[in-house]
Amino acid sequence: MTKAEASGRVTSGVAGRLGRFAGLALLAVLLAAGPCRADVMVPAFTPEQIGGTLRGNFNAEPQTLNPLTYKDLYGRIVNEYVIEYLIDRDWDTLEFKGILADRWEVSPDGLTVTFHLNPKATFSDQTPVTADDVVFTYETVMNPKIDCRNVASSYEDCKACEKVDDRTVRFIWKKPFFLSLENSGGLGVLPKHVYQFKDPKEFNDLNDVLVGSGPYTFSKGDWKTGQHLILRRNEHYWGNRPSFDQIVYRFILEEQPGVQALLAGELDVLPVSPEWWFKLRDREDVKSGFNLFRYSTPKNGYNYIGWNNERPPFNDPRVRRAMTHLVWREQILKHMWYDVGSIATGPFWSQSPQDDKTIKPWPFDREAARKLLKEAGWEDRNGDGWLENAAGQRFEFEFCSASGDQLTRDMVRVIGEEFRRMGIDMHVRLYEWSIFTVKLDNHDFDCIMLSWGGGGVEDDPFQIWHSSQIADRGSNFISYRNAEADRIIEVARATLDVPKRMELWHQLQQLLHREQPYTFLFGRESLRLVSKRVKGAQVHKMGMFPIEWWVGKDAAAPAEGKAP
Amino acid sequence: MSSLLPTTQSGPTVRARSYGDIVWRQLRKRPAAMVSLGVIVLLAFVAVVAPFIAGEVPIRWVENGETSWPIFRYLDNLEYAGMLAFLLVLLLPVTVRLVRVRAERAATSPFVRALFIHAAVWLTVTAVLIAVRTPERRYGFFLERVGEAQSAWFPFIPTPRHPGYESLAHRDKAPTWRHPLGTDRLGQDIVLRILYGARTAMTIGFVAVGIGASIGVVLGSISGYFGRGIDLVLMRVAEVFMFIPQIVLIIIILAVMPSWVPQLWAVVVVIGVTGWTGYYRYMRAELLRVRGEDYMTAARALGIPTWRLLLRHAIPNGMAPILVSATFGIAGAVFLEASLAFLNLVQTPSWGELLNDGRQHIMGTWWAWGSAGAAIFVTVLVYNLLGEAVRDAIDPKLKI
Amino acid sequence: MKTYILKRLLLMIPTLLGVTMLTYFIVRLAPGDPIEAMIRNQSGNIDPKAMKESADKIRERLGLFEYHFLRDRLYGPEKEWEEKPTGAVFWVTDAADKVASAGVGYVQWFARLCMGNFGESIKYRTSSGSRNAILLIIERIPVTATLNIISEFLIFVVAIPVGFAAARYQGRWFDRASSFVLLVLYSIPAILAATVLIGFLGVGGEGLHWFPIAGLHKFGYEKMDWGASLADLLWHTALPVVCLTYGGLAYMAKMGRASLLENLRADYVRTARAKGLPEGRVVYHHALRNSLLPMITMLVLTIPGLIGGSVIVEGIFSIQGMGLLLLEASKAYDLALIMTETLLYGVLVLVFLLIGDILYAWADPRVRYE
Repeated sequence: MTKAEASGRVTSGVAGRLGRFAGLALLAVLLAAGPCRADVMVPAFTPEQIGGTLRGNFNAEPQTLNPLTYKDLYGRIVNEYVIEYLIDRDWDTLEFKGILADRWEVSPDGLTVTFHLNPKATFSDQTPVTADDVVFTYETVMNPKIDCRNVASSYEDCKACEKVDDRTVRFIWKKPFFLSLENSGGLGVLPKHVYQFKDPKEFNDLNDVLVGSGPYTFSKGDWKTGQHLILRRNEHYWGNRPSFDQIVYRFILEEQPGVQALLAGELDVLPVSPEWWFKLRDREDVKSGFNLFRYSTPKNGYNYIGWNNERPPFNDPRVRRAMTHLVWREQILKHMWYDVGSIATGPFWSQSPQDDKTIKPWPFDREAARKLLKEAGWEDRNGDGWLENAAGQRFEFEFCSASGDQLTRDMVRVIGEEFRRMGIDMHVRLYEWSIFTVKLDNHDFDCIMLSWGGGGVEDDPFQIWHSSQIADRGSNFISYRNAEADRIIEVARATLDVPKRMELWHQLQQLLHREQPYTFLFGRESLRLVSKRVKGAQVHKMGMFPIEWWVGKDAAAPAEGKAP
Repeated sequence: MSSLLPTTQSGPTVRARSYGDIVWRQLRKRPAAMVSLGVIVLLAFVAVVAPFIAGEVPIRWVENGETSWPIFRYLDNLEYAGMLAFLLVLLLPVTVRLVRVRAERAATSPFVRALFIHAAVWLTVTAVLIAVRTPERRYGFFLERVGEAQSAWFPFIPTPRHPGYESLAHRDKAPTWRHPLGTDRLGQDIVLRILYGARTAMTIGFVAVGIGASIGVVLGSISGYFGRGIDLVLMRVAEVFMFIPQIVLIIIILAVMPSWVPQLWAVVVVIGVTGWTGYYRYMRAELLRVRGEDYMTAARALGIPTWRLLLRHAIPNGMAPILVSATFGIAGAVFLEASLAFLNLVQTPSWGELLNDGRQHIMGTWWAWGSAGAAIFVTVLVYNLLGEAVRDAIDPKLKI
Repeated sequence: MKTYILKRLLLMIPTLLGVTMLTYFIVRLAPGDPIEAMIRNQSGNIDPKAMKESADKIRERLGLFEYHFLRDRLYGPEKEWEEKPTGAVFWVTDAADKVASAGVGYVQWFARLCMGNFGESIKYRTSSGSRNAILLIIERIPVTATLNIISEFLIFVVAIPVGFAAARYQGRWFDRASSFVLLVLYSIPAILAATVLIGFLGVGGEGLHWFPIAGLHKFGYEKMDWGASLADLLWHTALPVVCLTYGGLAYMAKMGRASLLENLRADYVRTARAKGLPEGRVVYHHALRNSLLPMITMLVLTIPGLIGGSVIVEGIFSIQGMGLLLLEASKAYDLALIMTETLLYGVLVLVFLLIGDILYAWADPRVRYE
């Protein structure tokens, strides 16, 4: 497993498929949509609960709905209603449970994972789900000509996927890997008879063909660019009967009009940013008409300031820690994030056993920072107010970020101001994404503010922290190089014993905490307003799942269908 | 020679009024024009002295019995240059008078000569300043140490130049004595933002329009002077610039600008470079018109080179519509820059940005969008008023 | 006249070539890779290598390719580099390469254009799923046109009577009041007007919830009959149309006033009055008619400006028109889309200018074009 795309694949590979490089430009979007998954865990609805429409919103149009080549959040949301995985984590217990596979076995050495498919399982066209479909999907994913490298990298250490009989498949791995079960079971099964192709280009170009075994279906004419996208109930669903007749996602690109549509009764559910949350939560009409949900899921991710570990002065851990001491995270969280989120101490999801709860975040402490900087040789030697090193060079650097949203710009300004007050000559630069990505690839920056999204219940830190990922445009673009960290990551990935592995992850987190290659900022949370018209909405440990909601047959959707 | 020509210059004995004098007299009769001019001067003044009105660097500071004047050490070279430019513009009439007395019959008009003198002074002083002086820069230094000073004269509104952690605690506050226009979402004083926004607006207005008008005048003169092939080509070039949507040019040129160019200057250059076509067309039309006039033929018969005729008479005449449209052009440039900042296409300290900040909370933070909106509106209004007045003073039939 | 039009049409060709060439070079030579940026921006793809692969696949599909003729000769293909070469020679080669590739790209673009192929957008799709740039724009023309037609209509209906009334009663209170109001209107920036209108009149704002602030239709408008649908459209376009209209209105009213004044001062009016014609007939029959024609010409000339102006208004109200498309395309360096839109914009401006000039000549027989 050289590419740790798998890191994101804890909840059935979905997160991994999305990839995790979420720029802050994406922040609002990610917070907004949050995880919203639909799988076989469709509860048993009473006949009265079945019927009606759920109306949601996308902040951007999906690029494609192709189940393998999609790369955006909205493609993912639509896919999760239609495509099902072999196994998935339970929403509350986080244990694995079967979906398309009703049983599975892992060989003691962890190298072979065998799945037995549920004999009832069928695709929406009523053809049964067979081992051939699974093998076809796997082979398509591994086809280098298919534009889904990010999915394929989860299986880089996988040797083969074999059909044992019509209802049984076997994944064989090259070496022990802690995510082998999760990644194998996270394969979303595609119907071979629909997607079969001769030329891979033909498959890559399928933008609006989406057929699977899931509770909802999508048909070509239901996506009207610039207007809406409709998912309809899979009438032949092999599990419990899904509740909604249809699920409509409108495309309202900006937040304010989205909120207004919600308040006008044109939407049932809307993810909101902390700012709007803060503005709306005390309004009477909001309180009476909507339920407000706030939750954290593995896919929320965190944001951080990354220091270029190869460039002085940030190649010195003391300097990096001093910088962390200068970031007043409590104050920013309170005033700029409206208290939505939590201070991150490491790369892992705060509710996962992987996270070491004993670590306390470095406090905001100007004196400690001054001391550390002095130790590292940076002090005001000539009385001009700026810090210099022994050679008389001024402490000077550029603080880069993508010029995406206002919150990023504000945070960069406020944090940077504190650096300047400390005597560090800092220049803020905001880049358009097209230029920013080039800077990132060339490691041409001093410090950047960014975020990672969509980690997992158990996250694989290989791709971000292992020194082999520095070269060749890897994700360790801050060039963090630490032999101890490399060793821990390698050992932990091959350790199948859970408590032992957790111990190793805690060690890694402590190391990162001491070294501060990143200044970890905040773990994010999702905020969502759900109309009281919708019943059954609740928060699970894994997030919220519209699949278990219902409005009932007779609930009229206001502002819709009133016209003749 | 020149007395043979119907020029605007004074004769040897009778002090006739110059063209500029006549326009000025006309202008003085119009209260709206005078008020506008006053407002513009005031805006320029507050923009230039912004650090004395709101900021964190004290003017006078007494610590351990030692008196110092920190603000003068802290002012940026360009800030000094701005102050000097402001003074030089105000003093321009005086120089014009001096020059006129000394050189009654010089080849160029006293106004142009005075302009050149002032430009030379400004350029020299600015160059020397940049070469010699390194301003001090420390952030939050004095505000943190107020307690240690025996006496400190801060600007009228002592407030950090940039928002920091402390300012977050008092964000979105309604106007008080401490913050006469309230604070924004990061707790920054809005007077401060308006002042620095005025700097941006002034810079964009004068420099961008200056660049545009200069390019326009030069190319227009070339086009009008040479005519034929060169004119045909230049006219096409002008059309090219007219027909490329300005917004595309701006977004992409901003991206191409190397990172060390401050965005403000990038915007100035872009607006200047894309906005020259109007001036070009006026100048070209004027020259083409003048070339055919009888007095030109007569003068040419007398052996006066055409280029000199153009330089001495045609171009100054053509300056009238240029002046008027430049005045309107400043309003347009201020407007454009505010819109760009409003749409988050540029990040400069701008009124447009402030307006955008405030718009989410129209009732809640009326002071933010209200003051930004008022600032843009008043600025655009006074330039439009002045433009109309100048046009009426020069030639009421001018169609601009 | 015919020769004149022909000459003007011929002169359009170099201008349009210049416009497209300049735009193409600026977009192509801008730093950064638009396709990679788009993938990253939209998806947050973690894996840079995977992203590079995707970008190559998209490029292949769109028929864009990287041209490194010179550089490949000297340094070999980029994939085989062990580390990025440095030095002045490389820099010069690379720069020359970029310019050359832009040049080749432009020629290709032009050749394809001649065959009616406008290229494909990297970012947008039409409702039928096509990425064809011209189809994308055609889909959005009705939106922008609707806004502008309503706006032009209002300008015409309001500005001309106001302007003429002001001229008719020159110097009286109506003239003074209207010039002042018009100047004030003219000086209100659209962004301020939009802010205030959205905030105080917009649905979900903090004032009166009268008008919707985004989009052109209610959800499910397809099911309405045409009357309800029209009412819905007008209701949705009310605020953006106000923002588009008032500035032009002030300008046109001022022009109308000036135009009528000019005619009222003309010799033929004096003659008419001297002849003893009633004042009403002099004004309404002679002067008004003569000043109306230049007004129409003027109106035609302002149309291209309105299209440009709708960039800002469409941006603020999230109206999916040509202006917003251009804005978004420029932000994403969506080459085919920018080029097509620029070309279209250029043609529109040129055509309207030509129509304006012809109208002008037609309205005023003294004007002669050769």
